[in-house]
Amino acid sequence: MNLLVTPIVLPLAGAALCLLFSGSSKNARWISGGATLLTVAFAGKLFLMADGGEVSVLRVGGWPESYGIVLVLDRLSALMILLATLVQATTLWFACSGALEEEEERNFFHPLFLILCGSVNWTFLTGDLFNLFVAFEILLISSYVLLFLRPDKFSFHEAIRFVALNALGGILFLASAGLTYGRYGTLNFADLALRVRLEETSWDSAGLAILLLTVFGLKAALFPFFFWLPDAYPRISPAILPYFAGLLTKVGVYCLYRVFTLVFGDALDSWLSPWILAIAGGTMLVGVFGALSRWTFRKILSFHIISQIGYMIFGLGLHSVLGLACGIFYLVHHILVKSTLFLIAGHVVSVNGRDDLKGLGGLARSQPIAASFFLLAALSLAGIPPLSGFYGKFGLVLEGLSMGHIWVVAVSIVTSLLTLASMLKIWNYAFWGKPSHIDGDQGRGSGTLFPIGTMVFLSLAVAVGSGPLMGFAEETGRQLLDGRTYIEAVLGTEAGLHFEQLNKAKGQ
Amino acid sequence: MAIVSAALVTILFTGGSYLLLSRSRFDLVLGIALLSAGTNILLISMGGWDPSSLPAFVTDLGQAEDRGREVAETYADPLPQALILTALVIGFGFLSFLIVLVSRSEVDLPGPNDEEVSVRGESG
Repeated sequence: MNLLVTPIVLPLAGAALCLLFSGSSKNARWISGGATLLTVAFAGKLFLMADGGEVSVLRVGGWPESYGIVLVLDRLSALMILLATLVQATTLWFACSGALEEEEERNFFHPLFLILCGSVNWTFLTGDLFNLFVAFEILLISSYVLLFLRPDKFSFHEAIRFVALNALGGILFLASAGLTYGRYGTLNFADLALRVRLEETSWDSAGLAILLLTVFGLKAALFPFFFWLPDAYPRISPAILPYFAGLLTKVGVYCLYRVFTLVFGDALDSWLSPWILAIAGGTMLVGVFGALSRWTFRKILSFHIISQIGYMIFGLGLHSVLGLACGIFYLVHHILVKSTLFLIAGHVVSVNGRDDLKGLGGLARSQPIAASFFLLAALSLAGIPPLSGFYGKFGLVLEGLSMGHIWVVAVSIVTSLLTLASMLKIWNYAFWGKPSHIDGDQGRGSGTLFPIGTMVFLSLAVAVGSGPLMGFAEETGRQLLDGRTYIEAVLGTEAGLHFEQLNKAKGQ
Repeated sequence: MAIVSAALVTILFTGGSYLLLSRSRFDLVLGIALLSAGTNILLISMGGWDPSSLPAFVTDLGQAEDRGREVAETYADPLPQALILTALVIGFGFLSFLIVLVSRSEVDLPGPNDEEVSVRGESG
């Protein structure tokens, strides 16, 4: 199963080549474009491989799994990789078709972006805690440098919050990986899942669960740890922002889904679930209130990232097949739509030179195509029925009601309405009204509309194909909840049987 | 030895957390350095402190698994050592980036004035 390394190795190799040929930006564009397209192709191949329900494992270097590195591909990781590479391709297209400033490209945009993409794919594939840490660190360091593509646009104060908090997260992660190894003698997810279940629920495993929840929660910008995100994101170069917004927090969400179903599934059932639901509710409300109170395009959208992470965690907190399935469906919708919205925001900024709502106006008349794209994506984000945001939210509400979590359901409905309100605020101020004086470059805008159109098309495809996609999400939820196929693939049939017996014994 | 390392980790974590809360940029760098040093000591103590154990080595790669079991009593656990090596490299790289960031911020990055820092520091 050597194919499993392709989503990691191809972007990293591309980055190295880009550095070698960094003399001309044309060469760098060809190389990063080629590496990206190849990665998309291999991601599609991996998706088809995982679609049958089979879990593929690569033991790097042939070491036994408790000592060596394993890469594991199941439905969830294949889905995430496919989405990540699609967003990577459109972001690169967007960047190269005019959003990227010359100075940014000189400041090693291409190699840094490819390293970022490779490490994001790495987090989705890795099968042990320590490799996850390494992938996180590579991701973080490349994202720190990408923050400073245009040093003049970033004040130290905003950067340092992003850098210091994420560094703190990394330190906590390393400490929890060390403690895990000290306590359970393994770092491999599958092995860990078995060993945690072999014992009675103890303070040790609870403490570990809380530590990891903090680490991944910080990454995913969950409720008490969200404050690094909304200040930093609007400052990032618009050419790279769609990928940041679409994928980076979702890496944290993915880790939560992986670790809290496979390893801490028991803990979730017995005591953790209400806490996660409370965090989900808090995240939704804080995000949407923050969005309502802001007055620039990108700040509003940044706060919405936070509020929508809440919905995904809501699905995790329900911890049922349908709950997880709707959470995953929502994740797919969110990655595509959020990147689309940030692409449009980047387009508006690059054409008009500004994105504060009070300074914009009349974009619906001056840029009708961008305006209609925005309307589709914004309504989809708010969850208006025929569009993709509706299905995930609707399923979550139904499942939440049937499991009796009325408060969280109420919060999620209120959040949804407020989301619509803040999207309408952008629409009213930026797209309707009198056209304002424009000091940007009108001519450069048309090229960036094609990647935006592609993303809008993809998110519409999610709405049209919601039936099959929901089916896939349900299978993914079942695979996550079951855990046996994962453990069987990594540790062998015997371990899988053992795991199932342990689970049954716990259930009785 | 376990008590010494526990005490060391405690001191480093306490000091690091204290420095992180400070407003000075230089203290922030020191705080992160202390915290990551503390984490590294925590990581290395996870292999256990058995004074009679020897450094691990593998003579035949094919028998790595059998050896891992057979020598577990007498050899030091090599995994935390491998982990800490990786963690050290990453920590060092990050720290050097942070130092460059902080020193350059004094020179040519626009920073908010002190008033703004205190107002926003309270709200955040």
